[in-house]
Amino acid sequence: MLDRLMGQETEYALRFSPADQSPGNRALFDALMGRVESMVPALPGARRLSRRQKFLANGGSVYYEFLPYAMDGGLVEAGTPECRGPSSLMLYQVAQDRLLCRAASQVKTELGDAHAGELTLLKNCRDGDGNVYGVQENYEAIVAQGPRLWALRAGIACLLPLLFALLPVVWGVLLALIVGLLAMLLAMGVLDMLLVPLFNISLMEKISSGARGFEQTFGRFEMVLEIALLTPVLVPYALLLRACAFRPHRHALTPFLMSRPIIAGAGTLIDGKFVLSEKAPAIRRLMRLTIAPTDRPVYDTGNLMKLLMGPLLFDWRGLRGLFRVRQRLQLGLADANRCQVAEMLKLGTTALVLDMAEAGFLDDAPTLRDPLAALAAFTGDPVLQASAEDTAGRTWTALDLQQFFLDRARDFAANAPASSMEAFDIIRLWGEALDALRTEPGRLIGRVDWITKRYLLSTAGRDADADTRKKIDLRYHELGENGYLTWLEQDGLAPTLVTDIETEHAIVTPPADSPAALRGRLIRQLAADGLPGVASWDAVRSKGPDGKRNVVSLADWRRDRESK
Amino acid sequence: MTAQQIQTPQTDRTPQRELPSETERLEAIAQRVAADARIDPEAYRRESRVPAGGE
Repeated sequence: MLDRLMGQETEYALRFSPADQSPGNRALFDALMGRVESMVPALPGARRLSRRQKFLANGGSVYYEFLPYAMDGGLVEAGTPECRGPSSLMLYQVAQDRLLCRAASQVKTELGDAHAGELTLLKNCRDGDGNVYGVQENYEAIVAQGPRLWALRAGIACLLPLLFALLPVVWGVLLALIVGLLAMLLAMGVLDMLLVPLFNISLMEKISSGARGFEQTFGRFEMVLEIALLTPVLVPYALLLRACAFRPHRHALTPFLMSRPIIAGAGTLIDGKFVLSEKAPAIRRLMRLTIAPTDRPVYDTGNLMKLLMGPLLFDWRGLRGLFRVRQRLQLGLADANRCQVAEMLKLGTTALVLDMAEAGFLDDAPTLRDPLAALAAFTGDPVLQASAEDTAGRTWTALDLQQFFLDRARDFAANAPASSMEAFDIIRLWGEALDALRTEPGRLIGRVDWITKRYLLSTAGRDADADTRKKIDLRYHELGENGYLTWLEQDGLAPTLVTDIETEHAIVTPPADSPAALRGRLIRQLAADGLPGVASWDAVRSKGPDGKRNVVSLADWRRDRESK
Repeated sequence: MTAQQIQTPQTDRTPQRELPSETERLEAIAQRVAADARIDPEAYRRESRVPAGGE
């Protein structure tokens, strides 16, 4: 029980004050990473060129996340190391937050006097303009079993020839685009030779003065083109995954996740109205259909789509991974928590539901008639009276649904072949949270984010204008000494579940019994020896003092563990 | 919801003359938040904008 590998990816917003002194988010990210690398050993990651990725001594990763049309408006994306169980993941999430926060507070020394200002990070999912980003949870799970597994594998095998046929087309179009762009620039240079002496007009100057607009237009065009070209492969693949992948998990998880924001939602103001979750209003479907960033699903199969698209960038190794039995189940419907109790509830209850689903303990879980409508109703109702109908005609409130899963978890843990103190702790926490929601939600201030934020809005934000209330909404999530949740923590009003000593240790040490243990050890070794290397989630590549290349596959670690 | 609704069995057993109650500490933080949130909220919104999110 609670023995699966889990991880969390978090996108942190970069805030530089004053804004007019900011060198841009790319430069801020580089300065931040300069400080991170001064504190912990690190190796360049496989995405070092496109995303400036680094892997750290504890096995986690940090990179610069951006969209092609907003390269300078990116975020810090950090992935925890793979952890075994929710308590371990909780600790590594806190360690990651602390390391990045500490680095941000020291960025001034990297930037020098040219950009006098202060960098802080916001761990949230929605900015003041409604742009959405945030957290994704990852759980290792059995993708399918029996005939469904073979159907999935056969479907993937059938799609590969189509992918290989499409690759030259995609490469050709992208090449033509680049050649066309260069030809255009060349033609403008030639025209300038005529126009500048005659009319004193320079086309090149006009282009470079509007460089950002040009970059945005080109980036958008390239992204739309890529999505359109890959649709013939990715849409059938998405439908195949919908038919075959993670079916028992999704059956159990869907009603659970639609109601989970009542214990794990961060809460936010949208057009002045309070909703329980930052991410929920941006969810468009249950399962991803395309790679478009706005196609936000509950179950994000983007990681599996990326493996399939690997050959586009000449990465063929990932294709083998598509046939694995254990895959990464990625949840897009997840808020960034500041309350440690809420973080633990989110990770622990979800891991328990997954365990129960794999054990066939939730085959009779209710099936909501319209899950996304239920999600909207539940998250739009802070008094928790909204209800949704299941396919049997029974109506459920979010509290009813959570109580159903809690009761099942109690039975499951009580009858498990091996006792788990961690499971019982989570169940106790879950029960206390539901009791408080039912009787006195105020007891959860400092423990559940949306309750805490709503309290601050109803007291500190009472009679305030919309901008002030929005600042409360945003600054609640700021890491460091000026974040509003930090103030509650410092005053003992928001309990912490991990100690300072544990957190400091987790910043530099990988979790046990995980591929991260081997990755972290190699990173520290290579850094200490001053040898070059590149790390990824699957392998660590290095070059010895004799120039000999060495590849350590982290899949070997997995095979060793399974054979024991 | 008000701060008065918070049950604090541990602090109830604590001598009230020495430590402020949980409710009082919460109210003090709410006042601190109210004062800070009124300082140029529009600038804070601008500074923390994430154009790469995009919905």
